[in-house]
Amino acid sequence: MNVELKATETKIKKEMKHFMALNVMSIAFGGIALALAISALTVNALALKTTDPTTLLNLFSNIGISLVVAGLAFWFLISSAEVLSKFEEIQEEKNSELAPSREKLTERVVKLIGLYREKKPQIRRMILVSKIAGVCFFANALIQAVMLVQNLNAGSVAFAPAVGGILVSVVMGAVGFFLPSSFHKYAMCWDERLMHSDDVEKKILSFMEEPL
Amino acid sequence: MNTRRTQYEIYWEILTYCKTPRLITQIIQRCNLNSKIGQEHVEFLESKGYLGKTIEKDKVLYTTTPAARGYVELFMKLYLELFQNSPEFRL
Repeated sequence: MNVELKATETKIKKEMKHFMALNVMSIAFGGIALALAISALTVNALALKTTDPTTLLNLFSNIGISLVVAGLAFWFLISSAEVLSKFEEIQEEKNSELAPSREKLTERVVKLIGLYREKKPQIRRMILVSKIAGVCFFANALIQAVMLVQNLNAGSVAFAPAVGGILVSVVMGAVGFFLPSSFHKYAMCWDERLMHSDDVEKKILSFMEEPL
Repeated sequence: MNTRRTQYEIYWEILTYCKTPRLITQIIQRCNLNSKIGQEHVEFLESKGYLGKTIEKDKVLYTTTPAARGYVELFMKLYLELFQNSPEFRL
């Protein structure tokens, strides 16, 4: 295998490893977000025994928000799993060969470009949903922090669990911003390749139009 | 794998697969095409002289001809360059 081919193989392997890691992270993010939403839903649903109208209104609005978050988190989880599943098919083929030929490397590039073409709209939606989730988690951390400060003075709140909740929201908010920025980098790389693939197509077409 | 491919990518897949003689059903299955589209692509490649047709025991087999070598080589060169000459994705 020549040096150029070896460099291409290394680049493909590295990119696939990074994209795999990104997908695993987004599945974990979606799973945790879904778990938090279900937990909030359960807590609020169990508290519905009260008859106070103001509390009931609060509980119903919390349940509504939790349902929306749970729905989005579930969609995000399924989308990540779909992308990962398609990607795994290419990954498995890659792992089955020790020293892939020029033909096999081309096949992999074709499959990776095809994967991006197919999943591009889904990735764009995932970037948007993840950003929204990041904003929501940061907002939640801020609200919880303000409530903690207010309630600390009144002495009616346990400090450790409240700080724990804030930390979870901050971490989820940070991940919520990290994921779209990484997906955006991935999209930028493949958008550039797609753009150049138009020129490639023109070259192939002009070759095919030449008389034999 | 059911991904969105350009016609040139499909041609390349067919030509690479048909290095050894293949039945149309094998081509359709391997390249994940529907029978109408598969037939159209095979007929096109045959008309360009890139695929040759032979009949063996009443079965029609398609084989990539030496005339397709230029296409296959150009395709691989351009696609590998496309990947090599673009920025690398990192987390």
